[in-house]
Amino acid sequence: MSGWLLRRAAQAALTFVLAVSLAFVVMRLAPGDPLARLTEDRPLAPETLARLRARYGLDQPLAAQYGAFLAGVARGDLGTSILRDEPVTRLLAERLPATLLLGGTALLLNFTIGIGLGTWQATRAGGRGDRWLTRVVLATYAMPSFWLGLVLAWVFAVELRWFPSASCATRCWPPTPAGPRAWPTSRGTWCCRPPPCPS
Amino acid sequence: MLRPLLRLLAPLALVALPAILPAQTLVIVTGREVLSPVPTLWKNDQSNREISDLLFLRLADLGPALRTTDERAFLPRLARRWTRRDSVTLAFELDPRAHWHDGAPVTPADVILSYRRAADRALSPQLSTLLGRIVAVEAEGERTVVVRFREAYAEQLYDATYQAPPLPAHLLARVPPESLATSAFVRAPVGNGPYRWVGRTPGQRLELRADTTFFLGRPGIQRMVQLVVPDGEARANLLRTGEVDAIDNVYGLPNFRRVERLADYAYYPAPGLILGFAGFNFRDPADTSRAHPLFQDPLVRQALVLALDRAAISKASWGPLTTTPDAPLSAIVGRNVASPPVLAYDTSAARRLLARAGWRDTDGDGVLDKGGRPLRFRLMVPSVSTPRVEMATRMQEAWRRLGIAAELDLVEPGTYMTRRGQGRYDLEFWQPLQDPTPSGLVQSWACAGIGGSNVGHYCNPAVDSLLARGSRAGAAEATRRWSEAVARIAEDVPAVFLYALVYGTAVHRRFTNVTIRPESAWSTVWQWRLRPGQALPRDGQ
Repeated sequence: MSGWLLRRAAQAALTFVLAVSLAFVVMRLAPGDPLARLTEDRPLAPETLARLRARYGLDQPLAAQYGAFLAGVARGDLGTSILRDEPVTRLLAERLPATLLLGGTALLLNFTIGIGLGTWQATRAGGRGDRWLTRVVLATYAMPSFWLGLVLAWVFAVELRWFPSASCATRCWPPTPAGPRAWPTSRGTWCCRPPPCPS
Repeated sequence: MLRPLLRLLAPLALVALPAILPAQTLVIVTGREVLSPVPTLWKNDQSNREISDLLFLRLADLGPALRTTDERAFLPRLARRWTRRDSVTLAFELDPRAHWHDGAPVTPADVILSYRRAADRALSPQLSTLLGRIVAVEAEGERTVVVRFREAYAEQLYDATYQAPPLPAHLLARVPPESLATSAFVRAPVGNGPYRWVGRTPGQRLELRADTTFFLGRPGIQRMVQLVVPDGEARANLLRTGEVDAIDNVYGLPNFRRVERLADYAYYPAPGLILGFAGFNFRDPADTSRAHPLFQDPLVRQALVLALDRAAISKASWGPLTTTPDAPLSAIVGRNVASPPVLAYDTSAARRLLARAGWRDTDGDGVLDKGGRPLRFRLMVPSVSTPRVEMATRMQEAWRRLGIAAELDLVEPGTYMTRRGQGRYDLEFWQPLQDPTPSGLVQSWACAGIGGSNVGHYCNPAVDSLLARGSRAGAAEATRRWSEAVARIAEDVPAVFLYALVYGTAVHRRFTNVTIRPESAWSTVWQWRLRPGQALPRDGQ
């Protein structure tokens, strides 16, 4: 048992190192200079670019960059975003709640509605309701998700106005004066961070 | 089926109750996030400029006609008046009421700091070129700033005021100049304008709040929220649902004609500073010491332009008001400089020119050739720009009908900028934000710009001479010289000029006293007012 556990742990570690290394290599193989985006809005002098290159370690040999990258990953430091000049971990952390909320809600709806409908159909297998629901579910499943997404946004945000049509938000409850995270709309207040709302 | 589903989800709507808010609020939606709304840190980005202009005032603003040579039309801002001491000296008297949002007064040191940053070639290569004729900016007493110029010319006041609004010296004196872009100041700028910085949620929104002690008058709108929504369809939905009060460009939206019909919004067309063109590379991308094998021939360049219905191509992507220039003239600059005659869409003429240049389809493969070389090139387009990709596809098809093989090179922005800087392209689809003056043309269309913004290596000494003479002349002669220069550029066809954007800014009708400055849409928001009885829950009643 302990041998099996050790083997699995070693495999997991190897997979992790390979994934991290692949991420590093693919980024370096991509065409273009990582600093080029900065010059789009604000042309920079060669000496400034050289300074930035040194700051981000891009002037180092590839092996040294790889070593620094691995060491950073081990410490939980994913480096600094060149475009935003903020730690990547902070940028990820800021977006993680919205991603989890979105993914979690989708999974929750998937499981509850899916299991509920599946159970309902199983108890009426072959019946009229089962046949119709199977058609509807198959049709929905066959729809391109980008199109279905547009239709759902139109129905629930534009027509019914139950949800905001963009951005991560929820209705404030109870109604409160706007806090720093509040997003005022014509229909009330959306909060950029779901419950608890500012109070 | 929809009804039961809606019934199932109906309880979720119970939480949809309005809230009470304390402030009149303007909610704007934009597609591009503002990252550094601080003077001297941005140059070519409209979003940064628009927020920067609410936070930081200039010494004086261009008048409504945006005539950069008309000193009498400038509006006092941080400087309450200015005097001309001689043909090369301007003295600005700062308004004693002007203050930074932390309470410190605006002083000559602020003006000097900003100018020094802009004039430092290592920090701001483009600005330093534009301000090259300012030789000194000095303090005189506690409230006077004296600006000295190398020579007499019509745009002295514009140069002294437009490019580098003052920065707070008392906060930035200890920040190393090269570190400003990465300093805490950029994440929470302290300005002196009608609105003060509140905060930003990266990728989502930023918020400004009115400075109730603003010395030019208390803003009528107390809060401004800018939502960042990159997806055009989602931006359009925000307008349809009334979740936002304003949008910077209706014509940038998909199905803009449907949005245009929304009765709650008033539409304000305004000429813009954005110019779109496909620039020829005059150098061989394989060896930049050689001329480009195709584009060195002016007949080929002219034929490529004549083959395109440029007006139809650009209007399909940018709306009915967009104009098609024949020279590097944005809609704003084009108002003050005479435009040259149009190279009209004429496929027959294009065919004749190509035949004259020796291009024929000798091997019957549908592509013209000459000396065994096919008329084939690559058009580099940033893949993230949907309108440009759409337009490039239409151009490709139009050229194909004439036997011209254009391959689209859709690349991500970092690669685009790298290859652009290295000259590794045949034709590139660029979209710069121009300065409001023709004197700014030297950056991209003069020989001196090669190695900088002039990546295509277009060079005509006659154009350089006319631009230089225009920049040194008085107002009337400057306009004449610039017009001649622009006509020469048009004759040389250094690019396929496609569009000079005219924006359709939409603002909810609940606001009054609305004006839209063409070069900076929201800079007059502080003068807007909410119509009586038009408040929404988000404003607080």
